[in-house]
Amino acid sequence: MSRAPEKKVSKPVATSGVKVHRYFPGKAPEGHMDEFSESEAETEAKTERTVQLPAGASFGASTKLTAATEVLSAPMRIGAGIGNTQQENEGFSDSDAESDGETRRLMQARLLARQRANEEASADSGSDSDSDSGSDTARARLRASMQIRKPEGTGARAGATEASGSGSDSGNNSGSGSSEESGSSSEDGGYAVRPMLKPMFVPKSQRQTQQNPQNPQQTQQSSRAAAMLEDENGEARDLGAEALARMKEARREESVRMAAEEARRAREQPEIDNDEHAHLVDDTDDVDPEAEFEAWKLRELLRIKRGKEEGEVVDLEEQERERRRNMSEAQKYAEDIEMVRKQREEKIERARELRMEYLEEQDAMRLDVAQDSSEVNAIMSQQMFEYAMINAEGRRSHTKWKGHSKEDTSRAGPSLWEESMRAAQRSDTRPGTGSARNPRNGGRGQQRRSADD
Amino acid sequence: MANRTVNTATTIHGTNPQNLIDKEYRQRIYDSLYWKEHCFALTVTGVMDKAANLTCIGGCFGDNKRPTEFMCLVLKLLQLQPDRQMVDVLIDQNDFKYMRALALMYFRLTERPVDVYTKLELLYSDYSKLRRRIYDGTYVLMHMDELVDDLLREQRVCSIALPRITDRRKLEDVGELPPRISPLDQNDSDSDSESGSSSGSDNDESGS
Repeated sequence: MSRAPEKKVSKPVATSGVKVHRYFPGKAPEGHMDEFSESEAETEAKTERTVQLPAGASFGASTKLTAATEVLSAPMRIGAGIGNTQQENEGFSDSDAESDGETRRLMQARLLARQRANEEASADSGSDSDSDSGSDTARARLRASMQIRKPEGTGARAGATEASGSGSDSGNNSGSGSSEESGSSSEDGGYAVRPMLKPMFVPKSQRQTQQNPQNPQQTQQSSRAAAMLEDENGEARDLGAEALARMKEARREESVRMAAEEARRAREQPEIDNDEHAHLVDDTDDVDPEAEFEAWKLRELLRIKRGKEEGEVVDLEEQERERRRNMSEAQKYAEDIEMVRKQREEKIERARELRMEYLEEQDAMRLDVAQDSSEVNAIMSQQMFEYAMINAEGRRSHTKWKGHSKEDTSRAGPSLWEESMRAAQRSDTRPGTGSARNPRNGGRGQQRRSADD
Repeated sequence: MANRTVNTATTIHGTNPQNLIDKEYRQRIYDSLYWKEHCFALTVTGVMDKAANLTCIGGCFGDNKRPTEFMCLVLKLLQLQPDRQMVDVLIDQNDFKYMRALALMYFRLTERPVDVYTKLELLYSDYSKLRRRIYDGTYVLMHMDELVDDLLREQRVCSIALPRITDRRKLEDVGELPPRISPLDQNDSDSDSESGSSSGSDNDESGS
């Protein structure tokens, strides 16, 4: 093929050109606000504004909307309130005003949802006249929450990189506010997506954790260590060189003090050396000279006897060696064979004896099981007996596997395989497949006749 | 520094004399309080003084494998390597049996088989009582002649692995040693006169 290879024109893929919105936690993806909608009718309340509100945002009077949009008209980066992550902010940085609007929309939606939930809650308890006041209070609350965030928000705008800074700042300052937020969000009965708060480091001195009662020592130590690392204000200490030296000195003094305490304790309560037990064993001599002498005599005699026996053994060996040295090869061989034969016989005999003992024990037990020798019902008592033996011997590592040879079913009965082979052989009339030397029957011809023939 | 063998020491059984005690037990001795407190910078005379205060023999006992003072002093002697005369003095004295036991142990560890048999078998007739601390820390009564028997026949006494010595029979066969004549085999008159207990009592009137 001399034709130049065709350039592959990439077909426009369905997804190209469509803006794919990533999922960011805490932010509903675009176009899915429908899921939060309450009813279809309310979607008609959607008004045409510069700020396009999502269809599902359910709010009643347009006044509310105005208020919200007025407050929110100032473009601002979402701070800690909606729990933006760095990614999210960066995502926003690339996007146009539309994404700004989106976030704003999202925020609005959430706030209004919360509002509505509060209203509903109050409506359940109170009357409709509260709706206006409810809206006022809602607006006030909205404004209040906005005002917490707004200063930092306006201060840090348009730059995605500052968003995290703003986030941390707002987080810092809204440390107290965050609790409000979370508190209020819990009231709405879960209608709104809870704003995710950035975790904020709280120094140990300010933490309100429950001290673990099981490890009081640990907390002591840790608090001591913490105390060394922190000032009175609880802020982390800036460890300069001399500060470190001072810390080390303090630690050294501490350890010296502990050592001194230990030494004092050791001095006051000296280690009990079990010397009382030593006095139980009396090693004074001549308490009873005769008895001691007699004891010694006995020991000495035993030692002499032992020496003699050992000497005899050695002598015997020596004699044996002498004797064998003077024998011929044949004699030696005969002797060795005899010895080995005897050993083997003894071994077999011993095994036989043991087996007999075992069987006799079994017979005795069988009789016991039968309760009366006349009752010995062979099969039943055999089974019972076996059961009893199993119980007596124990069931550990008990198995029904009797061994490979017992599992061999090839000779037990008519084997299907063999049958088929034989049938095939019988029906095979080709020359050279006679029975005499046929590998199928092992070259034996038709010697073996089975029941099915 | 404090645990080095003395400069003038010769090798024993081809090795640093301290190595006659296993590394494990040796380390336990080095780490023990008695060693650090009492055995530091000791001379043979000092060892003698300490040995006079011994109350038991034994090796390492207890879960910690704590060494007895006896064992510490054995190691100290190995470090110092006193000469033969000194050791003989320590063995031959009749006043302190634990000192004698200490010296016997040292002798067994360091001397040649023939000398070991010759010297130690004399003490088969010493039946003074000794207190022995066994593996679990409790005490047991034993006698000097039993200790000698163990030293000559066992492989491990007081947590110390004894160097191999030739079988007595073999030495007899070769002719280096005469067969052992027990004091009981001698004339009956002699048996009563053998040196019985020897802790501070001179009670053998008739010489052997």
